[in-house]
Amino acid sequence: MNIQITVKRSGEEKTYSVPYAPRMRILDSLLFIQENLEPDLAFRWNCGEGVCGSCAGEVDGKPVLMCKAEIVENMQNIRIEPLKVFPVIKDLVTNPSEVYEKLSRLKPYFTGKEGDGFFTIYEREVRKSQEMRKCIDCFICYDSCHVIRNHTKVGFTGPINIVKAVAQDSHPQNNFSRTPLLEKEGVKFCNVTRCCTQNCPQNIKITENAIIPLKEKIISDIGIIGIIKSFRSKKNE
Amino acid sequence: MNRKFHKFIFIVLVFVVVPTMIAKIVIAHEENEQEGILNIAAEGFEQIHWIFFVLLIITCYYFRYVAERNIFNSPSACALQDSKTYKGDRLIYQFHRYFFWISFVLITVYLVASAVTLPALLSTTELNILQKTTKFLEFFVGIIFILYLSGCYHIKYLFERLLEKEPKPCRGCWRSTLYEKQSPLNDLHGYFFWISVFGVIALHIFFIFGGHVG
Repeated sequence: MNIQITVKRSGEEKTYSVPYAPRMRILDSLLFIQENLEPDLAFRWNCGEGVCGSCAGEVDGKPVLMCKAEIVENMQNIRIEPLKVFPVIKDLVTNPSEVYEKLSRLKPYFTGKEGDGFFTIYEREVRKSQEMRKCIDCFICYDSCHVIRNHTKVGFTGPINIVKAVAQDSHPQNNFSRTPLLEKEGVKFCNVTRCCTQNCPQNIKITENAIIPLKEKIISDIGIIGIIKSFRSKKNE
Repeated sequence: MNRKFHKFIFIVLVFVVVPTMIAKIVIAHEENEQEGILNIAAEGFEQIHWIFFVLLIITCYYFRYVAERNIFNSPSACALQDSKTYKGDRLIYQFHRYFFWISFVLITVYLVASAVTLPALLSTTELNILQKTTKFLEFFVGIIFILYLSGCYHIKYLFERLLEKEPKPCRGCWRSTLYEKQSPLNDLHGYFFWISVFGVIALHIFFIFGGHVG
């Protein structure tokens, strides 16, 4: 049995007939096309087992890791596209440099007090920072974010950069808060529809554990806690 | 919205609206006692301003997620306006806090009053079986509503802030215990939301058939 794979290649669409095998993945079909039908088909892949995050693409409009997306028997026509939010270099290869540009404004490096290299880390601190450090830079969350897709003018930093910033903030020795920087980078534009969380291949709860606490932290400066703080600061003055 | 405006809203809500509501409930209680009916639970949720619960639910993170995903067919078209007019959702979750605390106070007052008087109310012969079931259902919905409120992301954030101030190392500290107890409630926030909503709908059906409304 053959399946029809439509690949968006630098603007034009080409359809290939690929023999189906049980437990076949999207990446396998692309490798078959590259080896047998179209040697110049360009796409990124590296580990092939969902660890490196290189092979992200859109399958039938949904951003996925192509090495983890299995082709089931009733899928006769499959449409593969590059991640829509990035400019295409060739075929399925995109240029995600805008993400790094935005990330550079968030101080994505260790900003703590470096001691002699040894410190005690407690379990709850591990739990807190571990989840955000599972990110594999696949940009699926960034691609599935509708604010990024439809509202480029607002300058939203994107879920991936929030995850990176929260990961740095949750380091036990960190003594610099990235919350004001994230506020400037438009965290308020996220309207918590959880598209990023739903599509994340590493199952990071981006909305629940990164964005919502951040939003709460930002408005604390204005809300009830902010009012108490302002009264306290006035007292201290 | 500037900071002064938020302060004004907060002061109005906390120092004017909530005391007025509590006073109304207390007055209703006294009137009911004079008439021989047992307590405010006889009037139940009718005494409480439902508008705050509705506003709380509308501004809830979970409700917004459900509404925007299901009504506006995301991920390609979530509920955003044009980029020129869209200014973020800060105002929504700012007000969510106010509605949260008002609802929390109201529902706690109601539950405490009901817990004291419900056994006597259920044993009285003045109410028929349908009215007694309504009272019991009211109390049950109140408890579910408290669980829904306890799982709120705002509470989670407050407990996280408390946790940051906990000394290290610490075994069996109250801040950790609070956080660990609240986390499962936060995970079940969506379920409690739906149980509360359907509970309230069921309650209103009981109200109508029991002769409380209409």
